[in-house]
Amino acid sequence: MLQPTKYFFPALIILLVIVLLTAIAFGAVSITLPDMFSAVKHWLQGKGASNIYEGVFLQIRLPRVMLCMITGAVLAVSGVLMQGLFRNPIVEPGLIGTSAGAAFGASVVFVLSTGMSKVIQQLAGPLLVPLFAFGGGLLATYAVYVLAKGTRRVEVTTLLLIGIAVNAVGLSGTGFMSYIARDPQARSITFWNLGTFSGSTWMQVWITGFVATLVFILAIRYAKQLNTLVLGEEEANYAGVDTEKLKRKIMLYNTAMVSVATAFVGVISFMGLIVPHLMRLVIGSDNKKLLPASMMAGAILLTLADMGARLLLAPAEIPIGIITSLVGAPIFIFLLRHTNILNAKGGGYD
Amino acid sequence: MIDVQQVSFSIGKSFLVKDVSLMIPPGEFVVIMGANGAGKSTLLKMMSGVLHPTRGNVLFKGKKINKYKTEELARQRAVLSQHYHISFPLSAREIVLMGRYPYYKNHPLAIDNAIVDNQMKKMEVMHVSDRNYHTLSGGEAQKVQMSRVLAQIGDTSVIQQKLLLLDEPVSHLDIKYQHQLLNEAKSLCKNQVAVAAVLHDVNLALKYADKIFFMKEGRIIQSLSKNENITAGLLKDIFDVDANVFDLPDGQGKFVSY
Repeated sequence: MLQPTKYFFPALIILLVIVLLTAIAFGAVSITLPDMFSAVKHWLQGKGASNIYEGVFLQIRLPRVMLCMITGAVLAVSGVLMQGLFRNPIVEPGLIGTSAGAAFGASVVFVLSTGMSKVIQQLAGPLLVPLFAFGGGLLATYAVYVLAKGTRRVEVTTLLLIGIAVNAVGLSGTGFMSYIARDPQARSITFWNLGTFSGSTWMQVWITGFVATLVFILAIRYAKQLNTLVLGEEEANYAGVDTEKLKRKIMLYNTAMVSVATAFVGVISFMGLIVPHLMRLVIGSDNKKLLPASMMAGAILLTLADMGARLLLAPAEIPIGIITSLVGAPIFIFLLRHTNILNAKGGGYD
Repeated sequence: MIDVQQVSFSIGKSFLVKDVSLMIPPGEFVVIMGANGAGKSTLLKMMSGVLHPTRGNVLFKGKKINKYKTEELARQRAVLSQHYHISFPLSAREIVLMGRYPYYKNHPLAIDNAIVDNQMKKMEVMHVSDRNYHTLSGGEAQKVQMSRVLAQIGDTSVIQQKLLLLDEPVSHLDIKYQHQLLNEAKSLCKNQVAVAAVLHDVNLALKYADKIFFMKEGRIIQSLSKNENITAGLLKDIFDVDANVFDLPDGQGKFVSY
């Protein structure tokens, strides 16, 4: 269990490429490999798409699949970071208020933006929802952190409990917005809360990709320090880790990454929980291996889920959050009940 | 090496440790004894630098211990805690390697791996090296943790003024390994490492300690050097037991039976 074969990472990379190509190929319009190649060639030459297939590939399918992969990686890595920080395998990115805050921010825009002046709407345009979501996520997470801080040290248990409370506030805020909303707005809120990749743009890909890359590079540098937290907070301190500083940094990186991703695509549940868990079963819990593995597995699984969202009820589209929860929850319960780690001496996870 | 000056630690109005002073020079093995709740672990935590005294100072090599950077301190003192609760499945070796974390940046060097192997061999846990820590017995787990702490002290064959703190290090060990672990700690003293251990077995303390401090209700009420003799009266006072003190046959000190 703890020693993955040397083929594990190469296999993951190959799988990632296969899933990428498959996800691009299938959809309302099928795109062949030659289409992809000629589209890339034309794009490199600075020409536009020469036919509808190339156009669909460059402007719709590719940004969608890219955003999906980045978001999957972000959610999975965030899960690893939060689980390591809280020393608990059932922690999700949304647990410390980030998702709920972001959802509330988005719902405010959906309901109130119609009342705003045309000028603001023109200026902020498509960025209004992401901006508010990002602000909401940041604010909620910061509130959790400050409230939990209490005297001087941040206790993990307190942090989790306050996270639950702030989440409840965020959810009721979103609920209130739905309540006062008119029908189409309420539908927007519902849809956003379930997540969707339809309408992905290159700008979203670049922004999310930039933040994600930055955070991945930073996160992998803290893999060692996160490992020591496994021993306990005091013991990590004995081993040379400034745990307070580590907590602050990881929280900040995580919030930035999750808020940005959530802002564009909405709330997608279970990815942050289930991907790290799966990877732990295969390669163990050394964060140096777990972070890159979860990153790739998250990208693969969310892209598969998005293919399901696009194709299962085609031409209609299912919100992706429904698929991740519907598939993720049973898998998670199955894993919990059938893993020998859990029955191992000492209780394994607790 | 470590100089504890008049430290107290209180929560609200109750004192867990009160006006304790003690000094451990390099190369000395000190044992702290006392009944449950006497303040031993709290004192040890203040000596480790992780807990700040409400009053008083802890000086490590002449400098206030809270002035050290966390990582800098980790290269000079190691702590074995009473309990470990490992939150995720890791192999025994991955745990021991953590002892080397303060010494390397991203990848362990050859010396780090050599030290890990060496300390695991010393504690005789090489055979569980790749096992999931959660599947180890209580004793095996304790030996793995001790290997990690020894790895943090580093290359134990060279002279280095470091501090080793052990909180009930032998609680899960059988008789053979109780002695093996304490012998290992004792042998570090030859190379200038200072050791402070909390122990509950008076006879183990008498065998290994250069000096024993007895704590009661947060204070050190008595200390006992190598050449001083333990008395039944002291044991009654500290542990509230009626003990008999015997001479060991070869004149190598005392033996206590309860």
